[in-house]
Amino acid sequence: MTPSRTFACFSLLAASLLLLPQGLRSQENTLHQSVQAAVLVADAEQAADRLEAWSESQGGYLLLKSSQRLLLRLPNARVPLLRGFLEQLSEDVVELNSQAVDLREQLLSTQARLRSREEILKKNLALLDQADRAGTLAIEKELLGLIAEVENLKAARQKLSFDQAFARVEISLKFLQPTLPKDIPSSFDWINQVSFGSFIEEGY
Amino acid sequence: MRWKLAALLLSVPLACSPFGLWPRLMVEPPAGFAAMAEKGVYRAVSPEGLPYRVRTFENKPEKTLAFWSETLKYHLQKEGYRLNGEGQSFLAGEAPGMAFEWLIAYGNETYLYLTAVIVTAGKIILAEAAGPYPLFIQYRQGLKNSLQSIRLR
Repeated sequence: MTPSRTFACFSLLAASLLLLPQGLRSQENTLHQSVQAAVLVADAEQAADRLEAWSESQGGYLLLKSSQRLLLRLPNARVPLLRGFLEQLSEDVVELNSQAVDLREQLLSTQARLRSREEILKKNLALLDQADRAGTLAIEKELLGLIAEVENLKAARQKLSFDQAFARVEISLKFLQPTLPKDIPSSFDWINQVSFGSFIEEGY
Repeated sequence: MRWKLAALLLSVPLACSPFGLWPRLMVEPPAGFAAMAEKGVYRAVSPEGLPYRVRTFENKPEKTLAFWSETLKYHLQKEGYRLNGEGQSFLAGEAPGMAFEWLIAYGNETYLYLTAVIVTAGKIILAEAAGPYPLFIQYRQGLKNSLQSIRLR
């Protein structure tokens, strides 16, 4: 890369950093974490109660609870403690996957749209004093639409900020497999005789 | 009298050994299980109906435990079984064994299916047990103890 091109890239990067809102320019965490876990427990209802109590003690809360699964919101800082708690709850943690999505782009776009709508709203409000009756009705109609849009954008921004702070945790208290194992022939005779289906159906 | 005694001494091991031939499969049942030995197969069941079965097969082609346990693991995974944790190695007397637990969703419940392989004296010994998770874990330790008690004599 030539020095002039390097400088251009660097300038572009610096400019984009300057354009970022203060909150996003710093080392702010803009990741939304989601965790999916499956544990096997002897008593699903008791385990669900314990999970609910634990999440509340960590500053989280429950969205859904049944004897099969739980849906929680947990502060991001508490997510690393989840594995330890699940291991206490059950010796068989079948699955524990986590993923993160960067919300930076969505946050920036929501904030930009909100700012522009608020500016238009301000200008329309200023025009309202100078307008005649027909103009006033048209501006009022426009204002109502803008206000609704601004409220929606504020709600979206709030939800994004909330997603930044709280992880979404889904815990299954059962192992749910979409399909049963199927018999595939092996080159070894004795291996062909190993099958859960025939064993359990044969019983004692 | 001597003839009767000799006949009795001969009939006991012959009746207990699979197909009336040596080596004889010996298993201590898991605690609380009722046991029954058939020809070449050992069966036991818990009061709730959790089945436990031990069978022997010829070790042909003659291979080690590492080979057979890997073969079984690979095959069951290919069939769609989901492994629960890592396999656990154990000793049945001096014979090495490897046990795997498999997860299966069966009839709206999660089942655990135990398969354990022991390779000894030209034979492959296969032990199996299966039951709904809450029931299986009650007998997990007892099953492990029973696996360690398996002998071919």
